[in-house]
Amino acid sequence: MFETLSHLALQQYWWIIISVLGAALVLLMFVQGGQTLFFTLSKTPEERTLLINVLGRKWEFTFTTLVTFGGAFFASFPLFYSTSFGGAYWAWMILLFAFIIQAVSYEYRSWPGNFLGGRTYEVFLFINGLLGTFLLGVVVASFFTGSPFLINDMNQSFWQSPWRGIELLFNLHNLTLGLAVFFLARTLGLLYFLNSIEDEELQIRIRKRLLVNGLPFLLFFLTFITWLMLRDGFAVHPDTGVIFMQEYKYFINFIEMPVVLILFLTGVVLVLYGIGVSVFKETSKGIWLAGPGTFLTVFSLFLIAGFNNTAFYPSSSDLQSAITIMNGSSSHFTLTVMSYTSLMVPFVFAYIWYTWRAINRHKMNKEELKSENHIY
Amino acid sequence: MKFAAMEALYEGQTQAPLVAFGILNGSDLDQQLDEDSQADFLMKIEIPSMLSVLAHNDPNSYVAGIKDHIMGNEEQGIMSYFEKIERGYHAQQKLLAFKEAQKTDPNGEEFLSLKAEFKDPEFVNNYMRYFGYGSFYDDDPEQLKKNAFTMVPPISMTFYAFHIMVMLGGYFLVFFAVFLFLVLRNQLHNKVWLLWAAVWTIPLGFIASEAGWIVAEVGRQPWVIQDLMPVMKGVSNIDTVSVLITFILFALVFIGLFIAEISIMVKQIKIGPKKKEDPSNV
Repeated sequence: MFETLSHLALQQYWWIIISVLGAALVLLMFVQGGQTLFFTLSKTPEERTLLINVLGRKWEFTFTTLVTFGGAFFASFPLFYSTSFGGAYWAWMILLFAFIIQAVSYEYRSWPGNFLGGRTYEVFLFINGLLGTFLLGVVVASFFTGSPFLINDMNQSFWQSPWRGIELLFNLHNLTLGLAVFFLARTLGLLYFLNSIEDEELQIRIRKRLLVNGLPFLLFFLTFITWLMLRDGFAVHPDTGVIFMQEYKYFINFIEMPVVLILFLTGVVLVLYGIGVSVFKETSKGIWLAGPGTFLTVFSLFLIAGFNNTAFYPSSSDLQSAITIMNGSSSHFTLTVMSYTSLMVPFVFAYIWYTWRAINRHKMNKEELKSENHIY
Repeated sequence: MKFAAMEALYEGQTQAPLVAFGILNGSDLDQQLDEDSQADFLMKIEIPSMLSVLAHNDPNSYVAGIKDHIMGNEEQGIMSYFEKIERGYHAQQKLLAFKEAQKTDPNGEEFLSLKAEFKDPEFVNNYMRYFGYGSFYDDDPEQLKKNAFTMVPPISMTFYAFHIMVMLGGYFLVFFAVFLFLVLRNQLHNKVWLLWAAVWTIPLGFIASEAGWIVAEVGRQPWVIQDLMPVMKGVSNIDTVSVLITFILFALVFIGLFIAEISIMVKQIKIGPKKKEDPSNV
């Protein structure tokens, strides 16, 4: 089946898978967003434990999606993986450590004799929430703004900045997406709390904070998008593979791929509606609108980064070193074999859906916490 | 090569014995190998012909040694590393020419003929398959030979890691057999010394697993991809200070987490199991 497809078709297929995983990852970052909120939202240790436990039921979904996203990128576009992970070394290392301390924090926090004390693990969760969302946003923004690297004929890459990825923070456009993802994750975290917790006092506090986080998100997101639509983009000549700068490239990508534009606009409207309806009405279902909205928005952003003859990992040091889905992918053979394994993806999503429903059959409250066997 | 290093087998032989237990002469470790290098055991206990059986399922079969791989063995049809380096270098030069031709004229005759060559099974089987060896090439034949002798994994480390793993594996088999026997006879609970032995066996499992990884990763040197890509070509361009800082960070974080994990477990063990109120929950 897949072996009959052209190399380009397989590359496009795999870019769609990467986009799906990236979109799912940003959506599931509500866990990280929630981790930056439980200190300020809670007034008693009991409330804090309730908030952490509601997140604790979900952190593994985000974690495994992150690993799958990285793994799929490694296998399908190894030139990107080696260039970015070896080059923007410290950016990725900080992200890695932020996620190492997250996993253990949920497991160790409530156990007696946990060496560092429950509070330390709560701070670890906060750090993970802060760095995980912000840095990921910054790194993804570099798909549009470029990174300082060279790639030679033998596919060896050389990072041109001694800052090793930290220099991505010196770019204002990158920062706008980093902050947008940070506030989006917090907003989604609030919407998730709203839908998962049965506690009137907490619900009131959560609703109050929705606007405080939703508005900065909107501000940074609109700044990022407007800037993106107006800036020159990294285009690829389809026949020669030569990279050149094209005016309004990402705006043109939307226009030339109207389906993607529709997905994007639908996504944005759903996110805004999800936030609005939760602020102004008593509903707690806003996450079911803002969540899918986030997915569609991020999915379409990934598509305009890689499709329509665009270089998805551009180089700010040397235009021709830019990585495209054509020059950065695995071989036809590897992509074919992996495509068969990708047929499992719907089963994975079905499993996530099933376990999610099983975990969240009803809302959680303080009483339930006392009878729960597994406390985070 | 990994197999030969695991057994510190310098010279290939028929009816090759398996070293069940051995200690290498420490003063020779990490010395540059050459044509005259010999295995130097302070002591060893061997199982005759066992290595031949393991390698080829035949006690009389020939097992290639480290020097067979490097210097070649015509009789046994083993091509030397010297020859493989020459061939790999040839393949690398072809690839460079191909890239150059692609740049100058992607539809030109030279480019098309080179492209065809890379699809020719003759070229692929005789040259491309040794591509990575080309990275050890040197114009000076003497230096090329010296380079070939560096293409050997650290022998003592691979040897000891392999033997520690196998010995521990053997110990586990005996250990579990004894436990199974005693459990079936309901005699385990009054053998306190054996229960202590079980506690001290826990870290041995980790040691066996780590030793296995050392055999796999140290034993594969110098290759990231066997015959095609040496480690020196696959490594990221990161300065040593960054790697050192990362290593220290990993060490600190994981030691901290290790202490936490052990502390939590010890605390729970001291508390002991909860009394079962539900009789069906045994």
